[in-house]
Amino acid sequence: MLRQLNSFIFLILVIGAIGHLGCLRDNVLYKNFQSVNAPIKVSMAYPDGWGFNEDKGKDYWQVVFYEPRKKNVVFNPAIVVTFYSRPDTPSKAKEQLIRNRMKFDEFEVLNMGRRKVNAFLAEQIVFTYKTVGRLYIYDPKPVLPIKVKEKVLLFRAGEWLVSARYENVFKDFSRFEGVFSYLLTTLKIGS
Amino acid sequence: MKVFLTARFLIGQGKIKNKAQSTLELTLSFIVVVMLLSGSIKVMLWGVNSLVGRHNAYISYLNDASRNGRMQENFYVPKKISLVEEVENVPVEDFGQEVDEGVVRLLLGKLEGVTGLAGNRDGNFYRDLFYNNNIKLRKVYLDDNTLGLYDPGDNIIYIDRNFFDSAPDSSILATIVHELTHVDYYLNPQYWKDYTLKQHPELTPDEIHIPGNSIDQEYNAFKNAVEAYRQLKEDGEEDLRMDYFCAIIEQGEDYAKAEIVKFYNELPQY
Repeated sequence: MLRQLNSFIFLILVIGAIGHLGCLRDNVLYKNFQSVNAPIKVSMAYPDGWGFNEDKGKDYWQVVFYEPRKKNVVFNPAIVVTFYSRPDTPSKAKEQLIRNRMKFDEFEVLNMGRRKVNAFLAEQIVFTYKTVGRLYIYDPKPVLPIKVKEKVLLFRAGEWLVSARYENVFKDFSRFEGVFSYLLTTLKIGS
Repeated sequence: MKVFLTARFLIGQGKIKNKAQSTLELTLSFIVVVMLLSGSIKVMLWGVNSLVGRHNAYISYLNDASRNGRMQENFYVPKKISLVEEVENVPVEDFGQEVDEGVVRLLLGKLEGVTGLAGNRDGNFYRDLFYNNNIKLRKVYLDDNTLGLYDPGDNIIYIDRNFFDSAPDSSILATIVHELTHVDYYLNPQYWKDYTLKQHPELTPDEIHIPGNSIDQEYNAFKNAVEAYRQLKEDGEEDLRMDYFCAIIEQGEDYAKAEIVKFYNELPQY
């Protein structure tokens, strides 16, 4: 009886240890993403159950991680990591980013600063603005813009200017903020 | 007590030597046990969350399946077009009402001055594309309140009826130009393949899915819609939705495509 009880307790403690090992951070199970058609080797964790899309543009490559679209959800949270083949410094890119986002209504910078992303020193900026959630939709009610919050980190990794950003509805922003921070710790950039 | 002893065993301590040491050991054991138990609770919470999520998704799937099944039993339903009257008691005549020829002529006439569209196209090209290919325009109710849709099988551009009846001409024309961009890809696939390869020399022909839809095709359709809206918008006209489309496109291709991916995530990239 004592032996069975000890085995049970041991099992519970092992499960507990697994829970603390990181694979269940923020109650999210993670999978590993590895770039397929990028000009640079990129790997990082992403939440299990989320979709991802690799996009190769003229002067950029990016991966978009998004929570699958749910009915009646007007704005989908997403984490986007973009590699630009541009010579811009992170602070110059930050200025351009602000100029662009100012085109949205009620744009407001919440905070700015610097932060380490693994070995890289990044410019961090957090802002809010209003946008439409669902593209190409006719809403019989008057269009109600949604208040969105976005956190962007900009840093240089060799020849690449890297932007890592997380966007979500303002009131739900904290939901995946920890996930975003964790994803950045798993980001590996190769050549 | 048994738990403490087990934890003590786990951290590799031997038998109790004196009172002070045993108190320290027990405190450390207690902390380790609490941490590990909190980990177990975390695992259980995650399990419950997953089960609830899966249950909700299944219920939503059953609801959708029963609604679609009911619709398909009684009617032939063109792709993506709902018979909304079934849920809202709104009469629908033959999958929508054809827009009067005079109204179409007036609307498309306004496209004449529009320039600078993706693929080196302009308003005249899209007006001619519409007439030369005998395309029809219909007001209808679309699934999920989609603004517009081109069905190559019927050669019809469907526009949401409420939107058509209430939006300013510039917004309606922007939507028509969006759909005509899809028509253009469908009817001139080689032209768009060449254009895409010229724009993106890093791509190989295998990576291009034209005439099928893609994120890039949607991006060009949105870009054209925004350009047409900007050029056709008259003083005093307001459409908040189109203004936001403009802001999204102005952020740059990377941002706009990331937003499109969230909405059309089943599409290939090019």
